Amino acid sequence: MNKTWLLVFSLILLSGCSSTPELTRDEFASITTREYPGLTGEQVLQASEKLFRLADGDDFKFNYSRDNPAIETIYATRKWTEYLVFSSATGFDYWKLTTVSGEQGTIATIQLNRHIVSKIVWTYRYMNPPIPAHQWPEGEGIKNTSIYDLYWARMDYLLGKREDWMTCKMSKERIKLKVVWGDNDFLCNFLNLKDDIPDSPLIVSNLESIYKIFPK
Amino acid sequence: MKKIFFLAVSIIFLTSCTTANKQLSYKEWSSSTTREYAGISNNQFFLAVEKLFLLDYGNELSLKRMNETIFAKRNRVTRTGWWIFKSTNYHVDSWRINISPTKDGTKITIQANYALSAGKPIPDSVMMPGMPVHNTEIYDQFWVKLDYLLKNNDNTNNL
Repeated sequence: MNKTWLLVFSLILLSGCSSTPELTRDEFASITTREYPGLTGEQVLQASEKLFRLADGDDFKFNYSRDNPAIETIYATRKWTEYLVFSSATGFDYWKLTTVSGEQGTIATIQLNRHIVSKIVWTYRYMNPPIPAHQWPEGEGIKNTSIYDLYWARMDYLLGKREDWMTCKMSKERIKLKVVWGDNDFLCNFLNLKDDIPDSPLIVSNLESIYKIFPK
Repeated sequence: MKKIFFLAVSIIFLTSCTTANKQLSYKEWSSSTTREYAGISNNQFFLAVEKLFLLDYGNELSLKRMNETIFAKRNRVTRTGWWIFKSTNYHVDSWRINISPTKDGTKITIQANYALSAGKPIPDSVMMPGMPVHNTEIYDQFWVKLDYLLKNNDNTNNL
């Protein structure tokens, strides 16, 4: 009997060892960067703004910055609270999209951090929108493939590079099929996200006009 | 009397509901921080911007010019608290003004940042510490002042 217990316990403890794969720097760079030839930085930033407003327009707080006319950044911060049956958790998601635009097109880089605030250390500061003074963002950088996969799929749709809007259901299926791995609850979370679907992309691509002449 | 008091208190409490932060869209921010001018040389811009910040910040100003970019910065220190509950707050207001040529003239883009640090000074090597200022009024003021100085630029050199 003792042996069985030991086995059960060790299984529970050891299951934590089957951890997520490590990303190399190259993999991470390719996951978080996209090139949009022929598009301006303004178009890419506006698509990203629309993406966040659709996901949770009431809770995202936006800020914008410019290093020089060619390098612009959009910051989107969301404070979330999850009330579970016996506990609650609060934290912040920090999204930062930087675009470098030139005559040929735009290169966009996304960064996503999550900062979880312990419910005990609930101070006045966390009841207000956060303004980190020195470093941005706080918290831990998110390293997984599914959330970035979802983000760029939606960006591609809004910018006319993809035909369909990736819903949360589709993203979950891709995790199940092991195309991508990791947590996508930054954009897919029935507890505190609205997850609206856009009526139409911001930029209607050439694809659609071609389909009008030559139906699929 | 009690009713009036109750009304006053509730008004004070409820007013905080109306001051919710307005969320700027990218377009609003972009248009409030960009202007295009025609027929004004780069040097005229530099002198006007320099004068603008000298008038506003006086001797608290530190100004740097790198090619077509101007960095303007002001450090302020405030002290709050009492007895052992004292704290020293370091504030930095920083501005970046970019001047870039376009087909018909000159495009000017500006960026204002604000940083606040309690207890620890903000290193001077950081050009634009903190986060971007999130309103359009400060940028609007800048354009009004700049337009005025560009119009009346006869004595820009002798401050």
